[in-house]
Amino acid sequence: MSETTPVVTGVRGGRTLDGRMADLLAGKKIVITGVTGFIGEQLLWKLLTSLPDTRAGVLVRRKGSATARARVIQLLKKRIFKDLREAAGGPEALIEQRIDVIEGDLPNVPDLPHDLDVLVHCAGDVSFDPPIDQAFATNVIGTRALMTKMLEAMTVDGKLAKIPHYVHVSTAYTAGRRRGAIPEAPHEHEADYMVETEAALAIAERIRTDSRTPERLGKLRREAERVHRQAGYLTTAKDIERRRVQWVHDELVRAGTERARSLGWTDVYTFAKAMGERIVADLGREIKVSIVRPAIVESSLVHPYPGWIEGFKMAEPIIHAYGKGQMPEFPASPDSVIDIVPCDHVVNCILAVCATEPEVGTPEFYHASSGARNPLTFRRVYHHIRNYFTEHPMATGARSTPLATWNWPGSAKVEQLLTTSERASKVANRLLDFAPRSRRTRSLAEQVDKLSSRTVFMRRYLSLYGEYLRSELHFMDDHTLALHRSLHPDDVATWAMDTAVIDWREYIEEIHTPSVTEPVRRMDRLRRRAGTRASTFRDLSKVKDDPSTVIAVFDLDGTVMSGNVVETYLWARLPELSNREKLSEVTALLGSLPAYLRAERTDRGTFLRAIYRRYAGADLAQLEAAIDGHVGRRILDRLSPDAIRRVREHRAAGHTTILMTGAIRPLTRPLAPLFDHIVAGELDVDADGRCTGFLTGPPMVGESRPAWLKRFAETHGIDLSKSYAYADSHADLPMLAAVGNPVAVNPDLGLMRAANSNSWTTVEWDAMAQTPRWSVQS
Amino acid sequence: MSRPGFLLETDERTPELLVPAGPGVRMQRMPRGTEVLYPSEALDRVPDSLEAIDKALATPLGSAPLRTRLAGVRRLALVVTDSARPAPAMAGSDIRATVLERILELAATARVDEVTVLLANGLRRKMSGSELQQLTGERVHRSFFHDGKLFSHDATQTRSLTTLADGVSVNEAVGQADLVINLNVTGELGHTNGRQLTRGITGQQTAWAQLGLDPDPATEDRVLAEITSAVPVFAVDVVLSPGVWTGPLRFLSKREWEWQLQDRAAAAAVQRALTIAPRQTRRRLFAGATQDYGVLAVHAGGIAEVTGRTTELLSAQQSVEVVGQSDVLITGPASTTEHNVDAVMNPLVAAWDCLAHSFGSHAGTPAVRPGGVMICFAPLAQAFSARFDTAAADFFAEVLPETTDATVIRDRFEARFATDEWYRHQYATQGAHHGLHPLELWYAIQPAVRHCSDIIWVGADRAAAARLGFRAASTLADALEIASAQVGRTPRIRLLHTPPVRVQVTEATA
Repeated sequence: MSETTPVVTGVRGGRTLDGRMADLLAGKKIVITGVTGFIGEQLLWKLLTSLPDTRAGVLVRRKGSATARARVIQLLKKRIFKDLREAAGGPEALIEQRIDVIEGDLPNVPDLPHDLDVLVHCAGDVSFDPPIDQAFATNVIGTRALMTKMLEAMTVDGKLAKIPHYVHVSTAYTAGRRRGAIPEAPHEHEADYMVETEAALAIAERIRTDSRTPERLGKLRREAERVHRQAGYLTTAKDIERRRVQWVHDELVRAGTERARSLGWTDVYTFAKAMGERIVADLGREIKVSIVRPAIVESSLVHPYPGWIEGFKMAEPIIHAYGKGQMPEFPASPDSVIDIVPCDHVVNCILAVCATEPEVGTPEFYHASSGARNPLTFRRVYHHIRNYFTEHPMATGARSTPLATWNWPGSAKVEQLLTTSERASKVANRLLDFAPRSRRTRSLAEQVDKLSSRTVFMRRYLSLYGEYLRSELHFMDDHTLALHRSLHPDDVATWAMDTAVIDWREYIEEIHTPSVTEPVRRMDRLRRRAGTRASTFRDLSKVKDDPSTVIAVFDLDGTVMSGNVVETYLWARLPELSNREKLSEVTALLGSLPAYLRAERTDRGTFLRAIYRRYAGADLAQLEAAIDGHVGRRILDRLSPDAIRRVREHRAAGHTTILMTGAIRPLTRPLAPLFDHIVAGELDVDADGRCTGFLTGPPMVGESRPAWLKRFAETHGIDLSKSYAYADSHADLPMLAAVGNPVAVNPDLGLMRAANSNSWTTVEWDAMAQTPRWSVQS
Repeated sequence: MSRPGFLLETDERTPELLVPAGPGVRMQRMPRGTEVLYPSEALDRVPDSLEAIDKALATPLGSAPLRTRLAGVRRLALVVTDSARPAPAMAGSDIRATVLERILELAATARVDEVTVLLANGLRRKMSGSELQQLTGERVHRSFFHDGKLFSHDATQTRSLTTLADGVSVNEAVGQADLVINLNVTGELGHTNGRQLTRGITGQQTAWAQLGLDPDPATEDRVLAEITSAVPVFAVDVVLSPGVWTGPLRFLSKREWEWQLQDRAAAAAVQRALTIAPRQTRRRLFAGATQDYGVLAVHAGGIAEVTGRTTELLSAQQSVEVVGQSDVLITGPASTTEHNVDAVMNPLVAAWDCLAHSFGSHAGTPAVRPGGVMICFAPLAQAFSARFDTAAADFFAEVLPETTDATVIRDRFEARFATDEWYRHQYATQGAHHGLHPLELWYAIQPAVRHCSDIIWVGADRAAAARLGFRAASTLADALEIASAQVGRTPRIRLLHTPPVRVQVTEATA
């Protein structure tokens, strides 16, 4: 056990200020971690703006090719640094004058400057559900490495040459599942951070190993095959690996959550943070240590300007979902307190704590919170947000949606609602799988997808924050209040941190909500102005690419022509048979149809081979004559005028046009004048010119298509990234993915979903067939 | 004795009237005082068509008997002009098969060495194998088709054209013949024997000179003169009575107040079926039905004489006399026209049937006054036959959104449609209409477009109507409301009931 720090209860403790902030920190060097984050950014801004004689050190990690310095310059180019930047003469100059950039990472911390006076550690996970190993790596191992390096930098000849002040930014929710008043003091618990860390790393290792066992991989393969089998092995393989990585992540998160809950924390984030606090106390026995615990940090009240916020925090997804009318009910307790604290109060508190002088070896705790003295209940938040959206709806006119009225039915009811929706989505999806392909089916599927994505969002949100929505604890902030009261009267306006002054109506309706909805409104406006998103169905007259390097490849069945291999088989084959043979042929075909359909759902190649076996015995010359005659007319009859127009546009633009199909070559004869190349199945014939029922090579389906295209591109100087592909089914996914401008034509559900997630354009090409599809010409 | 055509002026007792509306019909109550033009019932048929044929061939007009004309002929070109093929299709066997057999018997007796049978389709689509067989009859088809002596003329195949004069080329089989017999089946006043020949059997340029925008009428005469001076032509016209619906659609050919109970039931059933049936079934209800045509007369001999007699007879059959022009003319396309045999009616064909065919069917003065309004009933579905109308689909999708101005279309787009390789290929090998076909339709409606101040489509696809440059309305009342801006609140309205009606406008007497 590492339970060494004394338990402090009551109002004792905390330190105060005795002078102007700028004077107290003049000539000091404050090193900050996490300046590229939300709190860190404002922390740096505040230091540079309001502490003119204090030097900043920033520990920033390299990201890709961007060095730490480059990242800091990027940071200083942000709007809030404008005045500072201009006063200094540019971001470079600002760095020269005020900032030491230290390139490094946690836990691989570089050497820290010997002259640092204060180290503020506010880097950490932003996610509430990090994988268990990552949570410990950042909060325990990272913090230990940072403190160790700091102590090293201060040590000369095995002794501390200088006693630094280490300020640790934690979270108020390290209190875990405790209830009632939480004092500004260490939490009582039995968990040993070293044991927990080792266990976390060990279980992570085991999960990673487990993910590669044949049982696990087999299960993932079956799941992937259910969706992607038609598209081919490589596509399936890619999906299996994606699923494995996802599974590892989910398991690591689950491991974290379960462990945290087994010890009385809500999630691994707060659990690891609590372990972090403990290690700070242990390692900081010979230095000055303060721990600041903010609650839910949201946008600034005053500085740098009211409403300043970076990125999305806990409340924003709910605010947006509510504003868009997508949140019918909410499982919070209406009287639960949501402990929000504006970011500038947190920043002021941290820097004021930097200016205090805690006793060596006795960590001081400060809560940056509002719940104890100015509680804000969920009901009030809802009330203010509803007011805001009533005044300023996200959309007006036809796009507007009614705002929900929450009745606070309690979490069980909401849970039930959610489960019902999940089940409904699942059933709807199963049914849609069997629905015939049509515009209606696609639009239904899109509605189901939208609904289930909402449900998934709700489910995820609730699993993350569910506990916080019903929390019954409040954080005492006497130390912070004392700190605030000790501010020099001239400093109060700049350094205020008393959350009791906040008028929640003003804060939510006029500062926070407008600020967080603005970027979304801007995006909506942009999207509306641009019409739709960028299209892969481009206006060929405006494309400037060298046409000789561009190909346009079209699928046949379902894309250029409405029809399928079974139909074309009947058209081509029946006329040569006698009436009796016709009857027996059709009967036999109908009998095998279920088997064919099963085959098509699993592997298109097998399906095509099975159908083509039926051509055995047919005279190829006769077949071709039939196709030049009545079968050709039927094929032409089923062509989509839009498809033909598009092919011709490509030809007019000088592109090479390719028809790529699993159908047999004779069937493509009527289309020959439109295409430069036709890739189709070749029927094998015997010495008498009769079909053997086999193909001369494998049918061109699935992944054979991109392989063919890549080979063609290499040998003909084609740039696939500038090329076009048009296809209708999930099996064509690999072909579409191989080119830069893929277009889904009347897609099946699998392709529709893939097209939506890849932002490919979907078009509807109708064929106006003049005869019912199954009429058989004699 | 058939009952003559007449003019019905609607009053409060007039029942709902049939209005043609393309593939479908509408029952529509007309405003009071509407003048409804009913054509005459079919004139008396010849009692025995075989006898009539033999008689016409034996005693032609302005010509020696065909038997005599055939003497010494080595090469005979037997041209069947196709575009007047009755639409909807003829019930039973085609009369042309009978005429062909009679002529071929005569040719055999006269020991003609070489007989070629040509289907003169001009720039229209060629017939498919089964259509050809149906037209010529099984025997003729069997004897000629496989020897390549029975085929459709190809206006784009320059190798098989003979140039007769500057700008006049015809199929080489006609150019090299000692005698050309032109068999023309007609039920339409405009489809005269000579015109069918000059447009049907000539090369693309020759035909287009007669079909383009505002063609010089003298061109047709010149082409005909060049042909007849190069080869002797013996004309045969089979004049048909207006088609009469048979089977369940019989009620369409009856006057509404004479409907029996079963007619009413059929009308109600058809109306209901049209609202609920899927597109293809709806179309097949009409496309699959045939009409009964009677032979009114067979005329043979010189082109001018034959044409004169045929025109006289059809005028008597179709003319309805009215006094003065109206403010509003109401009509709708027939279920099938000569431009969409065996194909869906695309918006261009619908427009052609109302604005060129029905509007143009007059004896010199249109039924509606200049600046008047036409109201047409048609769905204008944006559907095109992928096999026949590939050029029309492109014309509708690419040209009309840019301009509906015929002059601009001629200057900017005509050359492209005339020379496009894919259209040519489809026309030559797959029986599609020629690339110029949509332009022919578009140019043909221009007189009506210029004449009327507004053209309003009732029950039409609004986007299609707008694309064509017209207005759309949901009901006749709305259409009249729109029209009131041009023709006032109490316009004089005229309805063409079951065209073709030839409107003969006489001046009002004071």
